[in-house]
Amino acid sequence: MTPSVVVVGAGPAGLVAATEAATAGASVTVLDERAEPGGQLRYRVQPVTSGIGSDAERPDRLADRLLDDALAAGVRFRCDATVAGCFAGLELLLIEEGATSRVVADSMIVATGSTDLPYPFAGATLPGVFSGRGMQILLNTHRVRPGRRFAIIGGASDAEELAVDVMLAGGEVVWSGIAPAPFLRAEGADGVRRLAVGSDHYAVDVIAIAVGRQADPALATMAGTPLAFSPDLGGLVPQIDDSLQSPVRGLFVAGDAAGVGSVAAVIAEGRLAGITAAASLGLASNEDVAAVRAAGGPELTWRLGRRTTLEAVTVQPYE
Amino acid sequence: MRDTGRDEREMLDAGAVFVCRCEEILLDEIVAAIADGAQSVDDIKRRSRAGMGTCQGIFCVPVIAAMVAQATGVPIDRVAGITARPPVRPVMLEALADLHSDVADEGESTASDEEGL
Repeated sequence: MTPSVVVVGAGPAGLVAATEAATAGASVTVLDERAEPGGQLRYRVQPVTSGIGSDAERPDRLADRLLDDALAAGVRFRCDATVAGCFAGLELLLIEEGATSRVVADSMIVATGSTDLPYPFAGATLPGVFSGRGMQILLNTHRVRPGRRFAIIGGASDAEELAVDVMLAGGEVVWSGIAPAPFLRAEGADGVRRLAVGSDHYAVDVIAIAVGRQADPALATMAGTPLAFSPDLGGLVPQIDDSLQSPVRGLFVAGDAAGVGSVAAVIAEGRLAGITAAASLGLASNEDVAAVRAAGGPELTWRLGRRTTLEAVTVQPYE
Repeated sequence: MRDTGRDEREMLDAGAVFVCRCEEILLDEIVAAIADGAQSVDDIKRRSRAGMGTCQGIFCVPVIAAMVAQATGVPIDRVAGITARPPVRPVMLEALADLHSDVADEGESTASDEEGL
């Protein structure tokens, strides 16, 4: 019987992981909670590069290309399919249209992406305060601009990207920057009207918090993968080896779920997870794995290098 | 947020900072839990309910971990988060009630794919 691989998450890492494993001969199914495969590539609009030597391209075009590759390789997709849990033996609890089912496979690749880091301050639960990526989904996927005058909290690339998205959507970025949380306060009677930064006040109707992202490896953790802390990879990340294999047999983690990175980095990592999963099922050789690792370039090498020094922090597996 | 019966407006006017949005747990309550002897993120979760809501700690754990590190002197890279438990996404109880014991193997599903397993 053809060995089976389930990939959770149809973002860039999940799509290429699925393509690699299917090309090697596995029977591959991708599960994704959204209606359409593509993940972050569907709600980001500014050009991204998919790897070394690749020109920057529109994220949705890249998603279409990666999806076409996966379909051509025979990958099957189940969208609007939410994985709510992972149990012993890599058994997944799947929710589709309100109905639950259980799915197992010989191998599982967790490519569940990232979530926005929190930055709690006074008034941050008022209507009009959003997370950065939530704001991108609202602006770019749903074409809704929830206000006119924006404040963006954050000092790095996520905040810069969001500022451009806001301006492209016709919004005005009134204030952008980072300040210690005790100096920030959102004010307004029934929604955001002002942002206080120390003694300065800015009249805004939207505040977006884009201070960075963190890996979302909950399914891998639940299955028994230890966590380790890596500032370089966004905080708590799964402790996996330099082939992206978890200590839990048959389980792999790739992309932002294994530590936040660029689109090019998560694509390189997705490929490696896909070919490693195939190799673990006897469908690829160590040479195949080495070739994919070498083709990943310096950012992949750097990310894999970070993993070798991680020390697990105590985590109690779900029982 | 779930309805905790707390007056959010009143708390916001008082300058309250919500650390756990799902369970409406305030920064001051985390500080109080630590003052009462909580030594870990799990301790704080069990005392306050922080991290027990629909997002399962995605929003509050990084902040609480940093507060634990600061209060206990344990380096941040040695502070564990909370145990990941199902469901990682909200599930209706009626959906779980319908769950039968059949387990679909993706490797056997190729022929019956049209039927969605």
